[in-house]
Amino acid sequence: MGLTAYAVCKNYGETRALYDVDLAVDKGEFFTLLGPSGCGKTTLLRIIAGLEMADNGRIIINGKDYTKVPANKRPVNTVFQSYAMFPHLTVLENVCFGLISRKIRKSEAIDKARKTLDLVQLSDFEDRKPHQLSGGQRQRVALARALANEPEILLLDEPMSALDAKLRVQVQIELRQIQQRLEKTFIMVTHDQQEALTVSDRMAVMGVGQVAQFGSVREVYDNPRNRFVADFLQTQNFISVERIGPCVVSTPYGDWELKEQIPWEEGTVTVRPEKLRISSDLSECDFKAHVNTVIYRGCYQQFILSNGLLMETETVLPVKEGDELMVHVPKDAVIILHEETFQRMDVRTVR
Amino acid sequence: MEYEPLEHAKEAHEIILHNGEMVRPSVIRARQAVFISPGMLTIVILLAIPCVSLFVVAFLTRGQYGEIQFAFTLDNIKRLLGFGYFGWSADNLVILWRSLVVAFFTTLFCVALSYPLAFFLAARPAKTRILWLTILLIPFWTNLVIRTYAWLLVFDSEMPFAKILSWMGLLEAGTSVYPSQFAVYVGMVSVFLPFVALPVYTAVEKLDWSIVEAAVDLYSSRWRVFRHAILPQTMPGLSVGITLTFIPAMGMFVVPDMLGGARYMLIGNLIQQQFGTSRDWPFGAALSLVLMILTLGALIAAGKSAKKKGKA
Amino acid sequence: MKRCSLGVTFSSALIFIFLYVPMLCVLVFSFNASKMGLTWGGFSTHWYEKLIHNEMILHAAWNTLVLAVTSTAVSTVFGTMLAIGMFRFPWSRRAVGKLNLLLHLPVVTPDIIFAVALVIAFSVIRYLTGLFELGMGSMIVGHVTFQTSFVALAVKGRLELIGHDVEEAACDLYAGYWRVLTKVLLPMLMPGIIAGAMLAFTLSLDDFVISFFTAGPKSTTLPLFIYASVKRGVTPEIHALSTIIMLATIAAVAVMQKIAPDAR
Repeated sequence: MGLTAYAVCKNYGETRALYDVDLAVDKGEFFTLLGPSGCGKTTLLRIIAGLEMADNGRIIINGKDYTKVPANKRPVNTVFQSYAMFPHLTVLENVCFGLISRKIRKSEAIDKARKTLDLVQLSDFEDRKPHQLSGGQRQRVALARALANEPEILLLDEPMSALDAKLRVQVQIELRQIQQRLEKTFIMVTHDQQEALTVSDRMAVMGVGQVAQFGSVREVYDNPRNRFVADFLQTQNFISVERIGPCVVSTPYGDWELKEQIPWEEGTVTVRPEKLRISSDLSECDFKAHVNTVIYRGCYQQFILSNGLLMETETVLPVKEGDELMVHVPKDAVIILHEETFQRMDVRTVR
Repeated sequence: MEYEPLEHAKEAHEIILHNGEMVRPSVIRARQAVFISPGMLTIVILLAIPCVSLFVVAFLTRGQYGEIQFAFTLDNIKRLLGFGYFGWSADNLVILWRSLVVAFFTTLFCVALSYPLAFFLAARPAKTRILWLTILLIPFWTNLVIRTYAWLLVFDSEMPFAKILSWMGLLEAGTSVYPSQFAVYVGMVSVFLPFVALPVYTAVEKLDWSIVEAAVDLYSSRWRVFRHAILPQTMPGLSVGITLTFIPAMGMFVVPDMLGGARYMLIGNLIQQQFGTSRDWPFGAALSLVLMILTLGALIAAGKSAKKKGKA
Repeated sequence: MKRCSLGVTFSSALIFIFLYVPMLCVLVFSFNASKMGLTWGGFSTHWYEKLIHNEMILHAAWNTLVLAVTSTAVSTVFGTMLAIGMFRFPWSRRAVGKLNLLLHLPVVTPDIIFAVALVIAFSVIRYLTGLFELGMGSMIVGHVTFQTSFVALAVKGRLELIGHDVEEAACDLYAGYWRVLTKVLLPMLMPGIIAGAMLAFTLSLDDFVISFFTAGPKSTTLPLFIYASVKRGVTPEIHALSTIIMLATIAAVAVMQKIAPDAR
């Protein structure tokens, strides 16, 4: 159950915003649509909210077809990127708005709104106007305003883009905790991979109007399927290789053995900088390289090697520029990239 | 669960999403009509259509008792050009020309006075600036008739101003400064000054002073600083002010009527006469038509210069 | 670097004197006791007392107020609707161009042509329907015609500051069209609507030409009354009346600045 979006297409004139997208989100999970700007992730979210109309496709929420149901009759609520507070109403009135729209008795609505404000720890601010709140507080009011309606699905459109970096990390954790406590389905749109990794159970990385890859955050992070996803998740080291055995490739740095069968003759593999190891044992050494540049990053350090690869280590290792390193490439660190640019979610097997 | 793909692209075109609502286009069109029709109908019926109808009325004949007769004639246009019942006279053309000249010089004087005023206002500290602007605006909000009437008082023969002028030999003793060309200009400038001063002030407030500093740094004379550093930057505000002044100044009738007298008529007074005492609507329409065409010309010129500035 | 040289200050001072001397003269002479002419005959509030007992002036003042209040009320509704209708709905580009032209027409048309157009329109309507004798009704309609555009433009300015997201949020929160309009859009537009209404009100009070052409025998307003009196000669009573109107204007501007400081 949860949400199923089936074959959603959307064009703006000549530009294709969404191309035949399938999406399946389970009930109670925190799902994130991750992608660069202009990939169609916000459009998809707005189509789910009913604020945008798909040219084709269906939106099914908990087994019911909502494709042609307007936004004000859908059991979903949105936290807008701009928060879209009603500036002339107090915090409490803002949170009550949806409840009163649905003709819930005023006393009951106020009760419920107060409870929700409690949840986001804003009880003391109920009589303030939005312009008297800080950015972080406004964001929590927006969250409360949506949650007070007890939606089947909560949609969050880049909810943290207006917050500063320090506050963002704190809010991410709070958001995750609230979602886990309420056991509600959250669908969030973001372009920030850290944010996606921190809060979500599963995520879908979107390319231009298509889902490039989906899966649990761990799966996607550890095994990007194609060049686009790997690039977006910053695996950094891309290596063009040729297959010379079922599990062996020839690289400019020597022949490497991989963990699984290679599906093509020529292609690209990628390896994250932090997965490369410095070894003291010559038998383990996959290639030797000089350190061209050392970049100190505080909690870790990066080396740009003479062969162009990038690697990361702990700062305790005493490495200077000019040193020669013996580098070990662990078998399971090398990720084989596939050629197809999108992955279709199988909506027929929704749990 | 299995879902058949749904081809509702066609239906989607029949439903529009408008601010989160899904409605048929006919509903949207109905709402549009409800919202705009009271205002638009008023403007169209009472202003747009009558303005266009001037083209017709200007070619109709005046009846004996001032009624309009539906008979085509070019008499009104001929009369406008001076071919009256008693041979050719330049009277109407002179009035027309005078209207243009008065509008031109009124605008020029207003522009000249606006710059010092705008710089003065822009130099006020933020706290008192609103107060100064209000002081500038109060005469602007005061009724036109009262403001013009106030000048009658100042220009009266018993007031110091007239006495000083007559002592200097510029004015016959015991007469008032009005009716005169001078009085008309004073009245017009005091009426239209805020129309130029405010947009120019808005432009001056946004002025990028670093360009002025650069010009000063490059040893420009005061005039060159103004011409090359200040004027181009304040041009948008200035052209708005000029348009706001020149157009209504051409058609102004209260000020020349009260301060100019019968010898210093402008086209506005002439039009008023046709619709008032003379009851000659077709000729009045012909005059209005001329004024309308002049207005249109001024607007097009303003639009063109704005476009040129936009490109540059 | 903002400089204000002595020359600028001096000429600005002269300009302010130029703007205010006439008004001050009127103020001073409204307290002049002498009956004829402009020689000073001592301080007196006699003319103000006389003013209060002048039936014609009181009637004209009442007419002015009725005209301004009624036309402002109607044009505020019309103008707000017009702004929402024009700028909150999908229009084709050509339609927007035409509507914009019509919207700006009352703003750019010189008073006198506006008045002529109204006179022609009223006489045609009268010819066709027998209604619309010139009088208070025709004056109100005339004022509404030019006020509507100004209100619509003031509301438009405000409308452009409000993103669509707030309306979408209301819709997302189960509000129907009417609720979005009345509980979200209109309250958010209120500063613009108030500014537009105040502008309309002052425009109505400020108007002379359109009233002059469309007034009937019984609908004389204060500006018309003053104009007619001046034609007959300057009297101290008119000084007093003008002073009161000027002071009322100053008070109105002050109140306006208080209510809506950003509306000018």
